[in-house]
Amino acid sequence: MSELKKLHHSFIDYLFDKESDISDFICDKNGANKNDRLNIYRFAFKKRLRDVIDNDHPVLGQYLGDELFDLLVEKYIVLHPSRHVSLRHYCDDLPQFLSKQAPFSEHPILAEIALFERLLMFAFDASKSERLTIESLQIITPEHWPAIKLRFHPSMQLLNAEWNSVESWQAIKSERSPEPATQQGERYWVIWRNQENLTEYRSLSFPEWSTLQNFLRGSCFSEVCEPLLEWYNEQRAPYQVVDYLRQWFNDKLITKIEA
Amino acid sequence: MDINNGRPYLGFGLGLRTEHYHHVLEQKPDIDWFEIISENYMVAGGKPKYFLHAIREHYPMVMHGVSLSIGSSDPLDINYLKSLRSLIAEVQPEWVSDHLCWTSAHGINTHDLMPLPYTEEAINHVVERVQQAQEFLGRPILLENVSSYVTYKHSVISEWEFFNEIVARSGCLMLLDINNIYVSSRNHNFDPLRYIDSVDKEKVFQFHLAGHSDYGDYVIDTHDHPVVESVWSLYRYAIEHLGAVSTMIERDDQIPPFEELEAELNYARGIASEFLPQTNAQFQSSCSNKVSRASSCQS
Ligand SMILES: [Fe+2]
Repeated sequence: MSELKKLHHSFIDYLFDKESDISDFICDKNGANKNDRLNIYRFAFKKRLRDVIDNDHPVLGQYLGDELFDLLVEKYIVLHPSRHVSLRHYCDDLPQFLSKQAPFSEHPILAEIALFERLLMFAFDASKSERLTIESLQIITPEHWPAIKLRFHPSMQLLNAEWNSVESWQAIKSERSPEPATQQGERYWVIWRNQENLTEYRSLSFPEWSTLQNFLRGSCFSEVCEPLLEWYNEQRAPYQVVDYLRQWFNDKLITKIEA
Repeated sequence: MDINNGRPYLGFGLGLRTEHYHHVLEQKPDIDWFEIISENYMVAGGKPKYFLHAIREHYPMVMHGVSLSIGSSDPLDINYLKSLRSLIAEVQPEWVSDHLCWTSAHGINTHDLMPLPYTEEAINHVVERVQQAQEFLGRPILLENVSSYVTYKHSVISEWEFFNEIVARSGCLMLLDINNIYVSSRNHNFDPLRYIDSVDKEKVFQFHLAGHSDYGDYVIDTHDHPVVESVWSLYRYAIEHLGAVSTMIERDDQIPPFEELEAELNYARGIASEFLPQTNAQFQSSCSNKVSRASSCQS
């Protein structure tokens, strides 16, 4: 191994608190204590990553409280070294980490809150795309309706939450205490960035959520009507889909109709 | 005096920060140019991209990266270079810079500007990679000196000799961070004037000025304070010896209102005007509130 490569490895090991011979590479010169100097790097390294977790997940941080947040930072830094050029992706593994690592994994609401915060960020960073207005539906002739497919805005994110995670996020965001964590049955959410570049979200019924999922998978209008027969009769189901479409146009979520 | 020394000269700029997006767009302040952090705009869309394009319509820009990791022992990150190349095509910057350091190794990104040992091995390694990067981007890049806190036993030459050698052999250019020279001179006990005296002046395209935190025994490059008097003195010396070099204030933390940075930048203009007739004219005109935009005057 080259001298340079050895130095890189030793320094990285040092930053991660692993056994390291980095101090063998450093001079004690001009009265400078090499351990103090090395520590400037380790301190800055950890602080930078801590700040990223804190900035990306402010609500999770408040939900956890200082002590658990410190533990999260300590464990996450060691287990998930940054492999991206941008710190924007540093916390991408955080929801998964929280669902796997004790003591966090004993409270599944934590992973959901973290995921919700990440989806808000993804929506914020997504590429832009022209949005269609409801008038685009008027030019579709009746014979084309069954085959239409939809494309959605790149910022659109879907969340399926079992716990009162979004409600707790809302409470903390508006400086109220969240209710105790409860498994309240599946709740469905759509998150997106609106035309003013602000992130929005709202809850969805299960039929609306599964219709949206089916469109996302590439199903056409007639195909997405079928599963709705579980809740609506044959006459009502297509109108129900049209109602959803209206809402999605209202939300400025649709970017393309393929006939 | 040829105050441009064959270099393009942009005048006085600031680092573009999200906190100032609205102000810049609404007030169109009298700033000659902006420097953007490349990585902040390597996103598909959203607010940063919107402001980048809107502000670019009114100001010249340069791009400053933190992730090239030119001194790393990992292969150059081609995906990063591709993102950089497409951002260059989008922004059409006057030039592109990164740091003379390593930021990642072993596939792990430290997100810090880690110092290199000043050895023949490191020179050869960096020169080869600078040439690869320049070939890929189709243009020379600027490298910036970083602040450092440790001295490697293996170093056989000074930092400025190391920097000069890499510049001479790779064909890259220099971004001299005057604050970093000061910080490292305090931490390693060298004469900062010698650093400035020794650089090849034709290669110096840009200056950074920034604040730091002084702990007595050592100084940390924190970019969260105004520029201090000793750095202004060093800047005065640099302008006197290197001529007109595009200058900017770099503030990354504790971002103050825009006007404060503008005032700091005007202080730099004032210092430069003591030595440079052209800058003096610009300084006068900016004091009398005329809008002056320096253009790239490549000679
Ligand atoms: Fe700098």
